[in-house]
Amino acid sequence: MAVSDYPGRMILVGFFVQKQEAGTVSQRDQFSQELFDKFNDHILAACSQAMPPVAPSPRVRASLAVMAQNAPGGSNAVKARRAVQAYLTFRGF
Amino acid sequence: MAMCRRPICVAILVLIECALWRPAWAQSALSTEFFRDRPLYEPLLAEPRPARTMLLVPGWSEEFPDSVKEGSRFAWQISLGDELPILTLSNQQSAGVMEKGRWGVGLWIPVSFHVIEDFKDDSAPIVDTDYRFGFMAKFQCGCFENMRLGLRFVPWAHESTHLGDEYTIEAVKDPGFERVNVSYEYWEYGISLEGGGLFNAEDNWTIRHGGLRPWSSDGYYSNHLLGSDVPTLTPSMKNYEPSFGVEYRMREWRGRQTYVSFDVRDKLIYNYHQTTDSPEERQWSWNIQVGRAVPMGTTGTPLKQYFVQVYHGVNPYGQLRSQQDYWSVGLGWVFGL
Repeated sequence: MAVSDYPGRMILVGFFVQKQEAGTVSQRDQFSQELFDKFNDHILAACSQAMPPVAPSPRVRASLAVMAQNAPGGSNAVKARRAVQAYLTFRGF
Repeated sequence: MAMCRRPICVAILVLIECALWRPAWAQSALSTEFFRDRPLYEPLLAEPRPARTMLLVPGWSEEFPDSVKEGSRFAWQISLGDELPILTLSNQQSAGVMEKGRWGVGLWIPVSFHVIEDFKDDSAPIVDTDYRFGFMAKFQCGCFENMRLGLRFVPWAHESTHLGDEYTIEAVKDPGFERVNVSYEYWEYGISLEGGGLFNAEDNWTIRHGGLRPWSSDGYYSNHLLGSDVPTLTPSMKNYEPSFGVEYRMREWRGRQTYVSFDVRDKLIYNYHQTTDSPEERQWSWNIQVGRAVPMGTTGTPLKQYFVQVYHGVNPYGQLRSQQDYWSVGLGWVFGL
């Protein structure tokens, strides 16, 4: 199982949005791994389908995962795709 | 009483077993949160007595047992309620449904009010209001690859039902009218399997089974009329009410998922004067909703669902549960935070 490479600062933002507190390091590490497991593959898949394809950095993927965590959707794939669409719009695609 | 306790013990053992279960790879901290909700076992959309805020308007209904004017009628239904979160415990830090290998358990207090108002009879009487509250434990685990197991257990809850005063004023003009005190404590369980990817990668499905039974051997209602101490009513006997439900949410389109939700339960037809010639009977009572709902996790959209609902079976309201083959239909609207 791949280990999360999301930067801590973005994970702090996501953790704080959800729980309104910083949490402990182990809590944030677990949160980071959960977001990575839920969304990373879907984020990469959605980015690869963009025209032109996008290769997001760990920082961008982390921010997309935080966005996906707070997006509506019936599945993790839908949430991740919604986040990537917002990012691509932001990038002017 | 022993029969009543057995499912409670089983449910507690299952909860303990699931709470202690932890795969080797899931080295995770427990997240304990007070007064925060987690979607561990959301009521089926077609569940007839959910603790949620719902309007059924415009709505139409079968004539009630003591209606003055004959025939079907315009009658709207209002449910106000919520499942108040008290405490949740989970090995998943992130919000949302439980992912594979994760579990969550918690305690809620469901509170709800259910009203039906008749607009055909004079003065548009409130026909009945039912109140429900209790304690509820819910559990969910990502026990399977693409499927979640959910459990709901209500160790104790109370339902109190009240005919409307204007409805009663007209009803008492019939010498045969009896004011029955339908009020009882009960326990309830539910088992749920939920998943996605049935017909495409973005749909959702749910299968449910549940059951309800009053705690007291007196059943669902007092054996004496309101205002009297003389036992003139035969207590209900066939008190166990099993239920089954299925729900399917299609791929999201324009911000909502089209869904169909179906609930069926073997409801008792209250018979206040049972005899050998007139024993208690049951009727499978079903409720179906077809509508559009926001996807899970949507915030900032107060209108969560709108739908068409058709109900057929035992009248679900208070002492009117002596009425079988009752129907109601209407447009429904569910609101929430």
